[in-house]
Amino acid sequence: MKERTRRLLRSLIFLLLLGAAVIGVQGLFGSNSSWDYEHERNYLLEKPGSLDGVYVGTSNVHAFWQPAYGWKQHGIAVWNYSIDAAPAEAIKYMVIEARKTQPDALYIINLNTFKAESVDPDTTSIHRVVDYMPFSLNRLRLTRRLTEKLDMPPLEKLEFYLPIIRFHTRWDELKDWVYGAADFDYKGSLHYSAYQKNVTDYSKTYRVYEGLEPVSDDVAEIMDDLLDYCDAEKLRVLFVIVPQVVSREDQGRMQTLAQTVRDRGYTCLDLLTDYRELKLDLRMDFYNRKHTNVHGSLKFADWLGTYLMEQEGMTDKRGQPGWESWEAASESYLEDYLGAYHLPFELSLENRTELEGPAMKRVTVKELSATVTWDPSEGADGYEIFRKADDRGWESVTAVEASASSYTEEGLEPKTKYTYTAVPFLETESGRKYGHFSVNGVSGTTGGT
Amino acid sequence: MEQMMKILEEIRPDVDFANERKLIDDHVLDSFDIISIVQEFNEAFDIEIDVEDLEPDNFNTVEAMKELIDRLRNAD
Amino acid sequence: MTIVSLPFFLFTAAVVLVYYAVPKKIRWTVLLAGSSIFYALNSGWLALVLAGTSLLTFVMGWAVQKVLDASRADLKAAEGLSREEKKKRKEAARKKARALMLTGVLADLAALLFLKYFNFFGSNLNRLLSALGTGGRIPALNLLLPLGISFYTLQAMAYLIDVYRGKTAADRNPAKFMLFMSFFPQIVQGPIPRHSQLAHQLYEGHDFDYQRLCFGAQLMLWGIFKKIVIAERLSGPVQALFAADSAVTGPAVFLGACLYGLQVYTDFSGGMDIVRGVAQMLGIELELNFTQPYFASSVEDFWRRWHITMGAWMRDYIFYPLSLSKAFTNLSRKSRKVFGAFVGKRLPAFLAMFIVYFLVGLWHGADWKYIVYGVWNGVFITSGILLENAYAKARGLCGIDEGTVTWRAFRILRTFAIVSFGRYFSRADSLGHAMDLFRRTFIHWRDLSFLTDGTLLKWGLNTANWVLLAVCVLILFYVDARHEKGISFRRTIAAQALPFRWLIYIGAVLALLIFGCYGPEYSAASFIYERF
Repeated sequence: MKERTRRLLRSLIFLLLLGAAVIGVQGLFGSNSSWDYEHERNYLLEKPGSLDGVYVGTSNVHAFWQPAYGWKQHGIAVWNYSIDAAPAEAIKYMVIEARKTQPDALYIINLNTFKAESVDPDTTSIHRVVDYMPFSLNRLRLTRRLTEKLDMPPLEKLEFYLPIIRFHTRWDELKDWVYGAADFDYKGSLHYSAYQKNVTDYSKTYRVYEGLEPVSDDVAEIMDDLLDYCDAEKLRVLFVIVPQVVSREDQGRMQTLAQTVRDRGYTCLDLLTDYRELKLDLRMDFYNRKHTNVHGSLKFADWLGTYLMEQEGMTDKRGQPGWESWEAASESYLEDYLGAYHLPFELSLENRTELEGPAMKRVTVKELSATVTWDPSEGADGYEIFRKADDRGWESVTAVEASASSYTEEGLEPKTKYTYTAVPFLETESGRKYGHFSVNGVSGTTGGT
Repeated sequence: MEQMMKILEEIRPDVDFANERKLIDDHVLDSFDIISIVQEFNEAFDIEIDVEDLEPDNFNTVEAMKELIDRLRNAD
Repeated sequence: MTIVSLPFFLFTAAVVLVYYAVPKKIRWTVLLAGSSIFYALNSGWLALVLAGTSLLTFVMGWAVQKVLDASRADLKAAEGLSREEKKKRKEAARKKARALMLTGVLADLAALLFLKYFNFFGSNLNRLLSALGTGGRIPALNLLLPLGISFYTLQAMAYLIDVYRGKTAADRNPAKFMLFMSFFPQIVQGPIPRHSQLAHQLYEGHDFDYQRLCFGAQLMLWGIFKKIVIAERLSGPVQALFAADSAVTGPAVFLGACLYGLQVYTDFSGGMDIVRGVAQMLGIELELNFTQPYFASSVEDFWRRWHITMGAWMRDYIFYPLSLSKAFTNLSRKSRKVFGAFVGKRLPAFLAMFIVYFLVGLWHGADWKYIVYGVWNGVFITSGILLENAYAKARGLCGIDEGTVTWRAFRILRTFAIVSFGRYFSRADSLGHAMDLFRRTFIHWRDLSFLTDGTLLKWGLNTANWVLLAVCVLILFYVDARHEKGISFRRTIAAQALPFRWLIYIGAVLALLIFGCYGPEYSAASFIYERF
């Protein structure tokens, strides 16, 4: 009998060890997007209780708010706890998860996440949200909640509880997308080529509609649930509607949600309606309908950063001990990822004005000199000429007077593509203010010898 | 017995029949050999070894084969 | 529920738990219940086919036994009878028993033939009829096969013949016999059991034995490794190389056949390991079905090591009876005059052998390619024996010493090549496709560029996966080589200190989890042998 108990005990210990090993190894496998890993796992590297804010949502967060830039510009630490295509149901659980290490931060939540009429999550979106959360009751609850409506035999849903079942197939890529992701220390800021380079003109399609639309019962319930949680936890929350090109119905639903939120005593910033606050240029600040590119994102982030400092009491911590990793992250992010894709003055909203830009005409190359021409616009005090050689960053070349319509630069490098744009400016007491400009500019390639 | 050994050695000259104890179990003899052996035994000793007698135990050793032959001869 | 799936593992665990939890006397009912549930879950109403065959076989077996028993009692009671009279009575009883046995065997066979071969015979007959100008008339039926039908039919036939031959006593309890016919891990794809070897193991309750349980689990792990790490991984390249529209030429085609052989081996023998492992956990020893076939030195040796229980079945119930039948013996006598003693004596066995391989081919599937596949192997086996003397002379002339390692290695490789070429028939879509494969192999037979020019990577595996595959195959052959020498790995592991042992087990499970081909990103191929 004693022998039997001993055996039983030993078997139990073995099973426990085996379970622990399986859970440990399975933690390496998850959705193969390194962003998810960055946003959820690297978050845990932040000192508990240190962050000023946590921004929760989907890609509608990380295409707008860049934590590294928030630090660079304002000295505030606001992390993106955001997962592409996260279903609305997940938001509450993401807040709960994020609060485990940052219980007192300000939680910023995009209402754009909730507008969708249908909120049925699919396989991919579930994996992306769940996979990189550490094992916990919260993760189990979230997984159960998200898989409830999936039309799948119960045993097949196991892949969401143990993602290794799906993702072990990529064992040979493991080092690239897990360890590779851990190498990025941009505090969850976006590094994505479409965000850097793509420009789509939405000046014709961006509309602001008025009026309310009813939200579905599902969405209403999810929203109520979230607000109940915020109430119970006395959470500091700020709701935001980010500017997107969306239909009348969707805008109406977001307005309904905004009203719900405000009725319950929370603040909601509607930047879709008030996009002019951001000095957004609808012709060049989006890379697609739902996401700003680097140009729009910098405007949004500077505006929101200022708001957070003025209205939410966040303070500039630049230079304080303990924030070296944020210093380093903001330096390298701006240099490595944004450097080549924005004009220097774009870093601050303060030196921007709504002045219309000139129509750029062409670049005429003659051996190693280039002449750029444009049709002057009205009201400028002058134009500052910016130039980019190949894919290297934009540089200011010179400033010309308001009547000028061309500029010639000599002594260029051979076999190089030069892109020029002329930015109108006003000289004011507080310095030069830049107007709108053509982000594509005009270009020409020098001859070779 | 001598006649038996002669038959066996003719069929498989490479096998040491006197000393092998597991002719079947160790695959020393294959099913072709068994058929040849049975045919020869049937003719030589005027017996009829039946399919039912094709048991490993009856062919694993020379002694077992002899026993089988004796049994069948006496049965008639 | 395939035997490499979570439901099956959970199911097995449940059966094992309940088995040891109930009193010894009724443990067999747990197996019966488990087997019935398993079969019903897998085949639904087709379970009735199995139930029908079992019931029929049970009744016939019981009847045969009754006739034999009565005859024995009768002879014992009738002391005073003359020898001739006794013999006469005995013969009469045997004749009756034989008729009963044959009725049962043919009925079992009829079910198999109808379900599995109806369309094959039908279409061939139609072709014949239309060639004769009368037009095809037999419609093709869309018949579903009950799980394991090819295996349990042979099992049922063997049972009846064994009862008739007096090798086993017929079952008296239909429920127990039902268990014998449907034992759940084995019903999927064998091994094809003998009643005398298996039945009593099923019916008697086994004591809980910790080490046996562990050994069974380890055997399962090893089988799972073979199946999901090697066999499943091979399905991409094999499919690519044997695709009907593939234009691959040269040694690459042959490589495909080798990989396919490896796939069938790991899939089938891995399945066997799982089946045997499950049985072992329940205290039941099933027969070995594979003994390192790729170490075989001749085609004959290969088939002795491959699907052993099938080979034994063919030997005991087809080959021996045919070879020793009156007709064949007479044929032998006559042919000696024509072909001489050497050939004449061997003719019955050869003929029987050809029939066996024809049947083995047919058993694999209702298609001519399988039949040619069987004959291909038959030709090499019979020619090996027929030309034995000539080969020996040739070896003598070339001064080849049979004892050397190189000679043995050569024989193993030669056997491997013959068997692999044979796979063209079993894997190709049709006989014509198989012939095309042969043609394509030999048009650019020296072109090895596919190994280095990146072609390998187009067959569904990247470099990392090829490397992993190679490593796993090396492990497989290393373990097989140890088995060939009679060394048991499980005992080696059991002799290690506890932490080491645990480390090995945990490592093995993790390796399976990571390197196995399972889950939603792979579409699981079902067992290659399951429907045979």
